[in-house]
Amino acid sequence: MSIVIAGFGSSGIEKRSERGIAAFALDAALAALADAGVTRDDIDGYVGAPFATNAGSPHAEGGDEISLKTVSSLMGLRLGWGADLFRRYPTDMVATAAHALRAGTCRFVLGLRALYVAPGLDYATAASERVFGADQFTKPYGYTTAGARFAARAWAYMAQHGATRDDLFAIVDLSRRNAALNPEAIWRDKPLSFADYDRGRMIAEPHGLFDCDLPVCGAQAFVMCREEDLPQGGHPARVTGFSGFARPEALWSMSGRSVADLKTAQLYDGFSSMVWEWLDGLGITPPGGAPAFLRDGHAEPGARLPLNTFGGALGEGRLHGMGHLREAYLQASGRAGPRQQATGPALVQVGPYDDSSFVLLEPATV
Amino acid sequence: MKQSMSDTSQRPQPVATAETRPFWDGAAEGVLCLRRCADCGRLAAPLAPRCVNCLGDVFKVETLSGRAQLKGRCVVHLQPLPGRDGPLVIVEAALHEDPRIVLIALDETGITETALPGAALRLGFGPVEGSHRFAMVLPPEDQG
Repeated sequence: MSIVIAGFGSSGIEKRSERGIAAFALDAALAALADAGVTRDDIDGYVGAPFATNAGSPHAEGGDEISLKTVSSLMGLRLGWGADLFRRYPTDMVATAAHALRAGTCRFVLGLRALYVAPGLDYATAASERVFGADQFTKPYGYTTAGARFAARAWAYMAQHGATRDDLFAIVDLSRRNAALNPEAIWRDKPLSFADYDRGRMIAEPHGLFDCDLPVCGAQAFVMCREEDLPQGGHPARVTGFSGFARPEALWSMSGRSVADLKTAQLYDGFSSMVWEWLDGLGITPPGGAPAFLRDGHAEPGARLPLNTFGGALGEGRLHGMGHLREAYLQASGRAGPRQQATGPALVQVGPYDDSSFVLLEPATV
Repeated sequence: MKQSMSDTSQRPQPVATAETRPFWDGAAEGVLCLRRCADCGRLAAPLAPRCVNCLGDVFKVETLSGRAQLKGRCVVHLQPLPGRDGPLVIVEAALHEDPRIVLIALDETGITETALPGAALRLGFGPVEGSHRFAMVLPPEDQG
C-alpha cells in the first residue's frame, strides 16, 4: 500500500501582520485542499505540530500557536482522528499521518503548521524569575537565547574542520539565490553580497544576523491519502521512507534507497551552520566535508545534490521545516516550476541536530 | 511591556527537585556535586531520576574535580541576563569524570577567548546572585 501527499498549500508569508495566526492557517489549509482536489467534508484526519519554539513565545492558542481543536472548529471539520505532536516537526507529521492511513483509521489527513510573530514581545529572549526542569541548567546562563546552543556547536565544527565565516556565507548566499525563484519567499528579491552579510550585526558568534532565519507569519498545509484514494486532479508524491535521528539508516532500509539515489535534499537551516551536520551525518559528505561540498558548488541547482532549492528557511522564512517538506514534495511530484531539478528521491530533514527526523518522497509512477 | 508580578532584575532562579538539589546544594558551597550510581558506577546528569546505564535509582553524591573540556563556545550579543552589559560568553563544558555530561557555564573573565575545542577548563561557582551560585569558568590553577 502506497501512501502519498496529494497536495500542498501555502499562505502568504509576512514579517508582521494585522491578521491573526488562524487566518494564515486557514489560507494554507484551503490551498492544500484545493491542490489535492478534496473538499472540507472529505477530511477525516488531522495532524499538526503547533508549538512555538522561540524563547519569548506566550504560547497562546490562536495567538502564536494554533492546534487541532481551533483549526477543526474554525474550519468546521468533522474528524474521525487527529493529533498534535508536541515539539515535533513536519517530518514527524508525515510519518504519523502515514501510520493512520495505513491502519485505515481515516482516508484524507490534513497536515498543518503555522508560525506567527506576536507583536510587542521580545521574540528571542524571555526574562523569568524562576526556572524549572532542564531550564534550571540553561536559562540562568542565557543558553536558550538567540540559538546559543547552535552557535556553540557551529563554533566547535568550524574550529575542528577549519570552516570560516565565508563557508557560512556560502550557505546564506545559496539560500538567497534559490529564494529568488520562490514566489512565497520573504527574501525573494533580496540578494546579499558578502559585504552585506559581513555588516550584519553579530547575534551569537559565530552566527550573525543573516545566519538566522527570519521569524515570520505564515502557514503551510498538506493533504495525505492512500494512493488508491487519490482524487481526480490530485498531485501525488509517494512517501517511501521516514526515520528519526537515532536510526537514520531506517530511512534507507524502509525505502530501499541510498544516498546515491537522492536527486535533491532539503536540510533544516534555522541557522546556516546546521546544514553541515546532516550533509556529514547522512554520509553525503565525509565528516567535516560539508563546507567544501558547498564551496565546490555541488549543492547548486543542477549540480550533484541540489540543496534547499526553495531558498531554505534562510531564504523563505521561518516555517520550522514546513517549507522544506513542501519543497521536497514539489520536487518529487515534478511541480517545482523554474526550480525543478531532476525528479527522483527527494530527501527532507527537519530538526536541530540530534533531534532531527527524515522523510523520503518519490514520484508516484501512476 | 515586560511580564508583571515577577522579579526579573536578577538571574533566573532554579527551582530544584530531589534530583537536582545535590547539585545546587554543592553549588552553594562552591563545589561541583553530581550523583554516582551505587550499582554500576556511572555518573548521573543532574536531572536524571535513574541511572541511564542500568536504570538503578540508588545514588551516592560525589564531589567532582571541576576539571572539564571545552566542547562548545559562543558569544551572545543579545543580552538575556539582567545586570550584565555587553556580550555574554557561554561555554559547554564536558566533565573530566564523564565527558558525556555537559554543563553550561559563563566565562566572564575571557579565559576561553582563544581556546579551541577540547581545551582544559576548570569549573567553579560565582558569587551568590539572588539565592544561588552559578557555574563559571575559573582561571587555570598554577601548575607549579
